[in-house]
Amino acid sequence: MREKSSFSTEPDADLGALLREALTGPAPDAFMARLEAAVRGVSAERDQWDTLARWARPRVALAAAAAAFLLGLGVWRHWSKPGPEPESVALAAAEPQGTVASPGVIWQTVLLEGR
Amino acid sequence: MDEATLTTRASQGDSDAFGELVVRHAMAARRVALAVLRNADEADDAVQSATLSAWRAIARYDPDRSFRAWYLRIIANAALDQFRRRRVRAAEPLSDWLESRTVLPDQATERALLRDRLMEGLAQLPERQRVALVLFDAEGYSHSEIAAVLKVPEGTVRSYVFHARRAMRRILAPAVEEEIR
Repeated sequence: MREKSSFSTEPDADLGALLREALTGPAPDAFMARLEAAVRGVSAERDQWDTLARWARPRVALAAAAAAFLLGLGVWRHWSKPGPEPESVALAAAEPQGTVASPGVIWQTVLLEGR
Repeated sequence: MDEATLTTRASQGDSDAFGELVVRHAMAARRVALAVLRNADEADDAVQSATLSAWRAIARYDPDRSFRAWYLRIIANAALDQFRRRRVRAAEPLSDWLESRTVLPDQATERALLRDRLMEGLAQLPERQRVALVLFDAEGYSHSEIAAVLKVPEGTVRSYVFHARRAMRRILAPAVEEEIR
């Protein structure tokens, strides 16, 4: 180790061996076991998410399609429903002032007469 | 399975291939982390969390490039970050495992003393010089690979290795002479 120049572009085998020995640290097997367990744990977690995503994707698509269908149906029913006839609206408006009907009652009347 | 196949599979999210690659390079990773942090527990924690970060970032890994350089860069950065965070603390004890070693027979004791001196020598080096020295002399990395790990020019790596070696030889010389006698 001492004979080699600090400028040498080749690794110093003696110094390298000393460094490896000093830096190996305690219980290398236990360290490896802990690391492998950590990697296995995180990959298992990812597999679970992948499985969940695979399971959920078609169901989310189905739910979206069902929601779109229901929305479409609601819009279609709304626009296809006949509006209140002008006469019944006029009658409702011409009711005597003494009988004050709430706006809710008027709407119920309009809707019932519209059927 | 060869490294090229493993790196290709790992880059596609194969956890078994990634695990195999980690096993191959974990001890080098531990040495780099220990050289920087000089505390076995902290080094192991740094390696573990950096390895998990590497797995989460595996989609960004280019399988045409060296896995060990990519992995060791993540490890070295994690250890250097942890070292910087820790530097604010006042005292830096020697690693526990060095302090708690029991008395050994003569030859082993001399070897242990040499290791202690080596660890003390490493402690006196700037952390980037430590990483460069360990990667170059202990792990056999080229200057260009270390430059990629540390994200510095190749000439800077040569300078790191030169200064680190000179300092280590100065520190280790009395212990080596003692061992030779």
